[in-house]
Amino acid sequence: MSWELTADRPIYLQLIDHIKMNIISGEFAPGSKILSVRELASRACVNPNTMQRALSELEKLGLLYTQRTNGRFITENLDVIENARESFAKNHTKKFSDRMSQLGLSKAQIINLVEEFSEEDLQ
Amino acid sequence: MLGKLLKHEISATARMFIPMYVVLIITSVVGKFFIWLTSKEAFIDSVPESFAMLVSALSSILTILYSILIVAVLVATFIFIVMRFYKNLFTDEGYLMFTLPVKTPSLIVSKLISAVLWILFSLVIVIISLVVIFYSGEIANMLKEFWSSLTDYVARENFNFKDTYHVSMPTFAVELIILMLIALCANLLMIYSAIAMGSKFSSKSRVSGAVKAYLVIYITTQIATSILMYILFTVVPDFFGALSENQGDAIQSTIISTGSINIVFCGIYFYITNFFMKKRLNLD
Amino acid sequence: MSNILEFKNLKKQYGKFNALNDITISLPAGKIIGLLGPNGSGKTTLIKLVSGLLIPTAGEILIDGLNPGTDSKKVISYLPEKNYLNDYMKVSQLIDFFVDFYSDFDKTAALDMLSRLDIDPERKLKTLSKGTKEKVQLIMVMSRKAKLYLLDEPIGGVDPAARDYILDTIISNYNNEATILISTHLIADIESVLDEFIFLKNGEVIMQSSVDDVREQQGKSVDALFREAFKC
Repeated sequence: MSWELTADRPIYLQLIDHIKMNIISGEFAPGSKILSVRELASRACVNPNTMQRALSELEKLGLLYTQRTNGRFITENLDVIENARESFAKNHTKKFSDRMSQLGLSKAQIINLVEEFSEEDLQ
Repeated sequence: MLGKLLKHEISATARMFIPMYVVLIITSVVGKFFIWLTSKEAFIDSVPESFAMLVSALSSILTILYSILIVAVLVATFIFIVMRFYKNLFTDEGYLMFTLPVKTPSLIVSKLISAVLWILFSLVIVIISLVVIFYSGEIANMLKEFWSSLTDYVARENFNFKDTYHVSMPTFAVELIILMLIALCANLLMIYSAIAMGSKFSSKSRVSGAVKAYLVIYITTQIATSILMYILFTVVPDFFGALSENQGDAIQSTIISTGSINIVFCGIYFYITNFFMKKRLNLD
Repeated sequence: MSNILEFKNLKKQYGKFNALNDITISLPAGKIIGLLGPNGSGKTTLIKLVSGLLIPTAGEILIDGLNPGTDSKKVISYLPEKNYLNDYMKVSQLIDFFVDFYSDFDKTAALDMLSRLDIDPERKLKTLSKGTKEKVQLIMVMSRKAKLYLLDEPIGGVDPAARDYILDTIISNYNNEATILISTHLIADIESVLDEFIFLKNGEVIMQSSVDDVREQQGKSVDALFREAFKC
């Protein structure tokens, strides 16, 4: 996944989202060790301080933890990851349905749309 | 830090000077071979007259070219020294040099010492070149005789010399050498201060600025020296009389006063150079 | 965290022209700070004053508490816009030069970065392309463990790949006790690397803030803010 950063939100928030996605989707496996701050910052082409801030926030959320001499790891706590997935999904869905309502779609129409596109993906 | 600056200065400028000197030495060796060849009786006997005349004409031309070469090497040495000061400090390289953690005087001194060393070295090379060209069995003998008679003369006359001139001959020679070195430094520093002053202007008018500055400094120096001389001879009572009475003292005082004046000028030029480099630096 | 740079009523005048007018700001240690402004706003003048290449007309500059001089030059690593290298030097000689004069120069790091770019240290600088020479200069500057890095327009006039390399080199060599001051007019490319920024307009500081603050409080990027502030 490439680090695409937009111009209007604070970068550290976007980094948090990006890493969260990686954890939730399993791309960063639970319990695995993540790269150093400097490496991650280099990959994302951002200020190491900003990356550090994002990682600290993720630690507060419980998605990452630090072993003092070994480095940073993704949590092994699957519940925490599941919670993160749920709230992420809820957040996006709410945004989506608000948007659709703005377009004037009814609840039934929104659900139909979701079914249509979900089915397509499974094919 | 000065040692490091000097080390880098010499190794960076070597690529300008060494090739020249090598060419001169090679030319002298080749020239010597030519002379040796054409002076051999076998050669002279075996060639027709017309060829011999051609060879002798060629010799004259080559001799002239050789003299020009020697002059060119000395002049080029001087020009390279001036160019080096300007290029390394007052063009883009200056961004590197002036952000080094060294004091400004060190920059000046390293360039000055390097310049003096190269000038002395160029003189040594020229002497070697002349020796190569002119060396022959006869000349070697002549030189040996000359040297032994010179040392005899010195040994004999030293006592008299010392009496008249108040110093021994070797000391006198050393004094003259030191005097020349001081004068050399003064001249170099005068040029350096002109370059430093000229750099105050933007890069387009920098060179003409330096030339104008040099003229101003040169004229000011001449005026100042003249005034000084005037004061010395009119204000100081009987200075002239004192001079003509005692030759030894007179010459010593001349040496000391000339040397001192030049040292003072060195100081003044150094101060000017340092001031403009430190306070008026205007790298493009 | 103390301030690595302090300007007190700093002024630089050329004849009647005010290149910098009464600048009074402080820059903290440990941040990557952008000195942003259009051409002619005084960015290079400010950087030259800090690096000791220019003398202020009035006011004071303090670098880690020192006035500009030999001691401040020891802790400043300066990358000018110019190519300041002697073309006849070999890369290895340039490295030896830096080793001699800067006790904080990391020779191993420099050689490592050069080898990753496939630059043979025995090559003469004049055989390198312009872009490669610029990278060599950057490597020299970033291989020093300085307290203050001054980068004057490091990404101006380079191709996107080179730009990425330059930003990556800056990020990788950054140590969080040092401050990097990057002057540029290309804000969008560099914004994600900055902690804080300063807007410089006609020789005056019109804004000093952090990138995150602007995005949080104003919902726009520094680049967008810049375009507003410097509308022609």
